[in-house]
Amino acid sequence: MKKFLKISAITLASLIAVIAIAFPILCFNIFSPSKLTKIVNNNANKFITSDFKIERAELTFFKSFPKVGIDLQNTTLKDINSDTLLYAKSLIAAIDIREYFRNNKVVINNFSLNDGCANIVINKEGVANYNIFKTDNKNDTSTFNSYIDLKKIKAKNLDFIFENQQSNILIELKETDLSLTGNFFENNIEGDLSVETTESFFSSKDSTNIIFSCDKTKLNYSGKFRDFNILNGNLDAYFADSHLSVDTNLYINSLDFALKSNIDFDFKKWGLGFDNGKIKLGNCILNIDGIIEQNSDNSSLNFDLDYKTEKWKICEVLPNIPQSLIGNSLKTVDLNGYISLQGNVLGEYNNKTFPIITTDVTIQNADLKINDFPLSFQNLDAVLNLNMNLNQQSDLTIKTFSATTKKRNKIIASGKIKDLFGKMLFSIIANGNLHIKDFSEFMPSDFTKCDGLANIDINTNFAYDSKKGFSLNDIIGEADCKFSDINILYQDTTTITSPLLTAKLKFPTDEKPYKIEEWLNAEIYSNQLQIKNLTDFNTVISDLKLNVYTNNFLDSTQELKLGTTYHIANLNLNIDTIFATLSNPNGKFVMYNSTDFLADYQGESAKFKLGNSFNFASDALNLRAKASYKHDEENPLLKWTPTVNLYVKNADAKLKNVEHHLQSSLLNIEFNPKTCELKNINFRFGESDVNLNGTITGIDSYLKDIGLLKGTLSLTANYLNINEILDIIDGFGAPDSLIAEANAIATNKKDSPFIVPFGVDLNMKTTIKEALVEDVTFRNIAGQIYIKDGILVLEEMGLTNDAAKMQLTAMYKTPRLNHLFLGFDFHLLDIKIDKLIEMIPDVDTILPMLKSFSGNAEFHFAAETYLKSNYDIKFSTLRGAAAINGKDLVVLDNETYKNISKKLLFNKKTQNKIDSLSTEITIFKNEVDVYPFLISIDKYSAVISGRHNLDMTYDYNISLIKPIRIGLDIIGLSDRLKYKVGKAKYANDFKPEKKRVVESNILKLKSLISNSLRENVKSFD
Amino acid sequence: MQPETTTYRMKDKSQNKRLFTATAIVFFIVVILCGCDSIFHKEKFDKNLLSGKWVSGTIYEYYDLSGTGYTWDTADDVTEEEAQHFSWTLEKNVLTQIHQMEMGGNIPKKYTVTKLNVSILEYHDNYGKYYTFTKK
Repeated sequence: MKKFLKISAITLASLIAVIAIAFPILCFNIFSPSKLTKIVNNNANKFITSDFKIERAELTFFKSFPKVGIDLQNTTLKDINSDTLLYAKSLIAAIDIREYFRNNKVVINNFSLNDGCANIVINKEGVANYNIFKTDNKNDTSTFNSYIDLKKIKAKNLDFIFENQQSNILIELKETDLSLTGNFFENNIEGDLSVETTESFFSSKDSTNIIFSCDKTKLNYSGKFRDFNILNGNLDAYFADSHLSVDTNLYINSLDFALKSNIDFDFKKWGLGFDNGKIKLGNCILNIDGIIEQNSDNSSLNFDLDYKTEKWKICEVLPNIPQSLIGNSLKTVDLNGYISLQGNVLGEYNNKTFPIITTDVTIQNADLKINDFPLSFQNLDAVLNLNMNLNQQSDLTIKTFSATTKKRNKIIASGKIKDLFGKMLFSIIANGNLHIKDFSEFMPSDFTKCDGLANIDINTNFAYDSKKGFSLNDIIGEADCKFSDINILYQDTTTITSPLLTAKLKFPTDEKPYKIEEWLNAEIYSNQLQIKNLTDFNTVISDLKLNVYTNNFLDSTQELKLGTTYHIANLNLNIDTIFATLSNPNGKFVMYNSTDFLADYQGESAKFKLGNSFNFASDALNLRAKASYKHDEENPLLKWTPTVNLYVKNADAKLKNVEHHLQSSLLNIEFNPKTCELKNINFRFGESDVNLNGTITGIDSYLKDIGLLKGTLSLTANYLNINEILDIIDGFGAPDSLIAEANAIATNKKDSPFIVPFGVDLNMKTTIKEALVEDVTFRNIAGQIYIKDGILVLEEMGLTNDAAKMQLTAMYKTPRLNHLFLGFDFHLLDIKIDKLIEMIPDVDTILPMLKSFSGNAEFHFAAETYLKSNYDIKFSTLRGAAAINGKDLVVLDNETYKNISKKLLFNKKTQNKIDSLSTEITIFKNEVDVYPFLISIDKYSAVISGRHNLDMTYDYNISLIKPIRIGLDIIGLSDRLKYKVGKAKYANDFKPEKKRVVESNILKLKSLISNSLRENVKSFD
Repeated sequence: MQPETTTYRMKDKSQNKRLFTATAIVFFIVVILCGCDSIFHKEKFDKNLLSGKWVSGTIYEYYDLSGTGYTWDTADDVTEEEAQHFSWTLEKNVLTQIHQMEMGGNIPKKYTVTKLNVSILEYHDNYGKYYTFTKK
């Protein structure tokens, strides 16, 4: 059996081999290539109008196995323009003839084209170059409706060119391998197409230049090709190293991508439809559905395309985003995470019109790092909607945005950016929970440490132009900021701390309370704010409320303007040795510009302490001030021109080294650069109780050093302790040299005389019920006091005390500390002589004989002298004159009188009464010259004259002229007087000559004062 | 009728007495005048010599020929710029200083000059106060 099978197999194989060898030989002999070539060329002309050339035609069996086919070699087909339409080195076709004749069915078992090229051109008139087939009957409109079964159609290494000059479309495929199986029936082809090229090129050069190229293309199409026009099927394409440019913009640059979609492609409309398409770029998949078609009227492209991506890794997407779309911006951005897009492209695209691209962008779990930006963002999630309408306005809607930075700071935002590629109108709502320490890079370098928490809500609209920057005029915003546990270190020296600080911002604001072009309104509150310098400054502010308005300070062309109301529950301030406590201060501050300011302050109480040298406390303290700042003024005191109204109630001030407090129940002062009006100043100083009103003028001239500070004041007092007052004003405004001298003396614990204020011209009308000077009390004091540039004048000051009625005109000036000038004109009327000596002890020195008398007298005394710093008289400078008039005086029965009466032989019963006494005296240095005067005691008349020196040496003469003439010289020291009897010097009818030196001096003193005051007025040149 | 001789004698005595009285008066006047000339004769000093600055211890006086001057005492810490002014006259040997108060008024002081040359000025007042200045 086995042998039988073996023999049968060998026999069958031999038979097949014989047939296989014999059939070709038979065919080759019957249809030799030369014969067949001739047959084909001759018959081809019957169907083709153009040139047609087949170099060799032969039957083939092996190439079209198992069917017999025809092999055309070096076949050239010309188009209607005699250009090459088709060239094939080898073209093999095998048709099932039996099916055609049996079933009128064309079955192309095999059609393969190797190593050739095809050039299809549709000219501008729409005529295709492949219209080379003859039509026998022009009236025959029937179509070829035979069924063609395309079993196997292949092309290998075919260069294909398609050019539509009408629509300016060019397609070039190089080294194309093509495989097609399917069928053709009634101009419809249905089947599978597989195309591979080594190089592909597509261009559409019309209103918009679109160029697409790639190196390697794999394309599988399964579907229909209807009416030689419409492709409808499933496309699976791959493009390697692709490039796509539109006009000058490169959108795809060396990308591999794949496209898988059900497509509809209309060659006439040049329209492409995608259904359930997927474009794969690397690992990124883009789902597309819709249509792209060319508008035949204007050669523009119409888009109606939906797209949706998978979740893409941003790091893989970003490198593929064309630079033409985003420029170089991504070079500075490091963005990781996931992004997904879903949207639609709808509309017309040409050189004037762009389709509208609507995209929902979802970013998830992204990290963002921008070069040169100190912050990076993590866990970035965002849902955005981009409506890109390049024809009009593109908008970006931020549906949600959240991110963290530096791990613990969370930012949430939403909003919209209108006109994304134009004015960029931002409308953003954002919230941030931030640790201020993490943002220290954004703080000025002076803030060396920043700590605390910030919760910020911002609702803002603003515009940003990529070229012009922020359009400040268009910014609109509101922000609620809540800061807690603030701890800021400024310049390593100052700390700013607050447990809670809130700020509510609004810009622009509609409210215009200060007319400073208000733009920003900020309501600021802090329960406690402490600003502390590590060395010498500390302030604690409780319950701070500020309502601040500013102009648009972001606009660098405008100077800052600011207006604010403030209310503080309590403020404690400590600067070095200055301590201040303000209770419930409130008011407003306005900076109209860098020059003009307004400050309004009201406080329930205030306390100030300047070391141990000054203490101040008050109840209500109100201050309203306007000030202008002169930038070009060099004198620091003149840089400000303030107008101030100060109201202080129940003030209490204490100066170091001044024993008493200065207490004021009411102080109301209005001050401006020229005038200071003391509306009402009541104060108590020690025992003094004073009310002061008046006006001070010439302040600006005084500060400019071109005039005196002038004042017309009215001082009324129930009681005034002059000693205490002089202590306060001692040395005000004195020249530096004088101050230095005084300080040196004070340092050396020497004398410190009163120095009259300089640079002032004060005229004070005084009405004082009672005043204490040194240890003498005066009453009913009324008169004028002038203080003028270092000169103190008391003019016709009337006063009384227990001893006398007095009138004093005096001048005191301090040209040098150890050279003080004192001049006075002093009238004491009806004064008790003993009280006079008690009140003015120096009188005993000048006129020692006066203590020998008792009773009332008039005393007129004009003198001048320079004083030492301890008020000791410089006797070498002493000049003066005095007059004493007395009536009904009693000569005291002392030792001197006894000696005189004894020498002059007075009766023991002589009454020691003097009817009258009238003497005049001049004083020169230490010499007191008594001009001869007549006294009458009882029946005796005597003329007294002589000199005594202030060292108490005497040289007097008493000439008794009635009832006898006898003289008595009294010589020697006061305690060792010598009495020498001699002749009387004067005649019996002696009448003393009135020198009237005092009256003369008084008149001249008044003149001098007047002249001095005038002379001291500074020139106003 | 009285005898002529007695009358004559009486008349003669009376005439002699008158003559004696007149002669005595004339003699007295002559003597007085001659004595006064010697008693009240005052030495005359050249006031030009007074011009300039004089010093006596710490006291300075300055005279200029216009009849003004000033004085100061450095013992009282007074400088020349702060000196006090006076006017002066020198009549024979009487030096009169009229000190001017800054406030007005004059304080006259009279001195008797006893020596005045280019280097020495000596004067005193009526109360026996002597001053000796040297030219500065």
